[in-house]
Amino acid sequence: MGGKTMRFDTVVIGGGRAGQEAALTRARLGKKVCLVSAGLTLHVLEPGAEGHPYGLLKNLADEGVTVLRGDVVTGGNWDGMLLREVFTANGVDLQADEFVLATGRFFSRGLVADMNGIRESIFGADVDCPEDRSLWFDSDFFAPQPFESFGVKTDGNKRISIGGNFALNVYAAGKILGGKYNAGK
Amino acid sequence: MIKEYDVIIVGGGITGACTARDCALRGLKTLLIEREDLCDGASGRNHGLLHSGARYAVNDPEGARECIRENLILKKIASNCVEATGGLFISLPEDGLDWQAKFVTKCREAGIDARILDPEKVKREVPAVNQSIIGAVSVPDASVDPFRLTDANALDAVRHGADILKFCSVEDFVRESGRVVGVRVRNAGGTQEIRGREVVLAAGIWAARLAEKAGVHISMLPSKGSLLVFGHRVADIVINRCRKPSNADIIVPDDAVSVLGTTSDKVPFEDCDDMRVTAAEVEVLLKEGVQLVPSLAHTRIIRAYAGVRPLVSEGGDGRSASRGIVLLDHETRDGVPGLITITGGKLTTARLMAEMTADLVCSKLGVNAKCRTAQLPLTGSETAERKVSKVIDHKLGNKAQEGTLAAVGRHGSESLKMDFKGPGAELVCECEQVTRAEIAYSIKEFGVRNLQDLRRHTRIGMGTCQGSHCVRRAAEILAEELGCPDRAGEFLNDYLQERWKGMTPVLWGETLREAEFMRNRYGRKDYEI
Repeated sequence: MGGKTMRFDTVVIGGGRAGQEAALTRARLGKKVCLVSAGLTLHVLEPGAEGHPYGLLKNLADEGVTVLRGDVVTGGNWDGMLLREVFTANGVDLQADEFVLATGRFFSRGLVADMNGIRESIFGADVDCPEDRSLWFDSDFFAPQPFESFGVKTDGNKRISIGGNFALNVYAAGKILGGKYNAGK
Repeated sequence: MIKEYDVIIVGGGITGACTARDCALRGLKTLLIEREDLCDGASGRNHGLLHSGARYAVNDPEGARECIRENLILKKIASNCVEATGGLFISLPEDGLDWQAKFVTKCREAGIDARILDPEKVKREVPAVNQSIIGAVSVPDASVDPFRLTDANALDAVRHGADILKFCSVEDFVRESGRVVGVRVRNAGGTQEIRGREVVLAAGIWAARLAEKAGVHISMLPSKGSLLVFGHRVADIVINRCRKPSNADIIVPDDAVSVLGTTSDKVPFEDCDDMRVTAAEVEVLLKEGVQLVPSLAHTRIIRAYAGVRPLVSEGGDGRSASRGIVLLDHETRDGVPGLITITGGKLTTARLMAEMTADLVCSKLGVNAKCRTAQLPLTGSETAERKVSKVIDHKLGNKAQEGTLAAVGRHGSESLKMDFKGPGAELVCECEQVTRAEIAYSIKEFGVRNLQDLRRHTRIGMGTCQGSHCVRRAAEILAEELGCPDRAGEFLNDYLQERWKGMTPVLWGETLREAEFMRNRYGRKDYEI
């Protein structure tokens, strides 16, 4: 959208644990990866987690991942169901062959809820959740909460859908995937 | 405890507390009985609005006159409970200005200082207000803390010799040849009989059920009023809609937050002990609320709650049934001497209700004593005793003194009883600036047993963060001060369940984000403390 254009193999949207893991994995396969993180600092994994005492942050730099900090993706340019590029709030256009959506659930604003429903915040991807708001929660605070298993609808390859059509090159990762697997913590 | 009281008052809400104070000041041996904590019922579940009477000026001139008189009295005698915010009655284009003209005339007839303002000036001075207003009137509405007001009355009653029994429910009346001569009560220690020459029911909607036990029928109409708490003060003034009273047409600044209300719906008696706000009520509140203050549509809602108005039914719906004061002398009405019921009325007129009740009690007992509650300042409100400098530890920095100052604001001269030296100055709740000293004081003066009780007496956890940041610390400190450190986890869990009840009706937007955060932080019941 008239900004600076950069080209990568993969653009990962979201700098949380899922986004960092996705970026790192692809970088290690030799891909040219860009990670867009809303935070100015990346979330560091708790010490000891999966053998990364200081989190993945250091590894990202080592593996050559380009990290855009304090920036968010605001939308994209589609060719049918193929996402060509995304635009960021700081005015960068990021072109890539594939995109990973790892923006998390409500707290990190991957999903946004209002009185009338829940939507995915960047592409308006289809979300799997009941319409009736009274089914979003359990009245016992300590019981598993339904809203913690809400996420975007995906195909067998974890590709998101928009208006019932599956995207060809946008994959969901982390909490935004929803489902019982991701509920709770 | 005395063997026989002159008067036993059943119900520790604002009406019961005011009645206990009035009776004690007149020299009666007085007992106040409450089944839970003070302010557990409707007195703790309302708007926190000190009416100027303007809302009632057109339809209920007598109610309006009562309100403005009491409004002026409370501003004098309860200065630590009232914030004289002032109020606005705004007219939107669809309301027209006909109602405003009638409204102003009726206000002035009732003695309410109503002034027509230039809407352009109001838009500039209160930028949150709907910018399409075509008219605005200022009235002396105010914000009142009902918890503090009830506490202040109860403390003053005790100071003048009254006894208070909390967490103690009235099971039945003691009767002798038709006369009510006392009550049978139950608490953790078992049951006992307490004798009183007169028994006053000041139990709100619960008076109906109690009266049945004495064979007396009071036709009451439980009317549910739901309210929404918003995360900050959207305006520093009470904003009303200048039209026939309706749903969700008042927003009140209460301490750090704003409260929008109310709805008015008939509910069954069996629901009165566990009021939950429905999705439909939330929708009505928001739809109307944004007409007053459009930014409410995007403001974080921190919780929803509901109370029950004890209306005495004369048919019709909740808004047309009488909201006036109802004093029932069951000796003349039902042939049951020794029993009196005081109900109806409003938070604003509670002192007047107490005066009327105490007048009746005195005439029954043949006591000749005048009411003094309109002149004597309440405990904590005496300006002469407010030696703020006494309680402040000047060795502490300004930041550390904030909690002390907040306590002085909340409790006035009562803060002299708090020890802010050393650990007492430790700030526990940052939104409402509650210190360890205030917690220790509340345990001593109000018999606080858990975080819910503590909230009623200190406002702990009632601010913007609703306890998300401080509740764990608060649970630990309370348990420590109570001498039962092993119960901290239980306090924490109960607090979170209660908070959840208020959050779920409004679980979207920023509230849902907060919910996810809360679940991550506190969602495991086996939380280690």
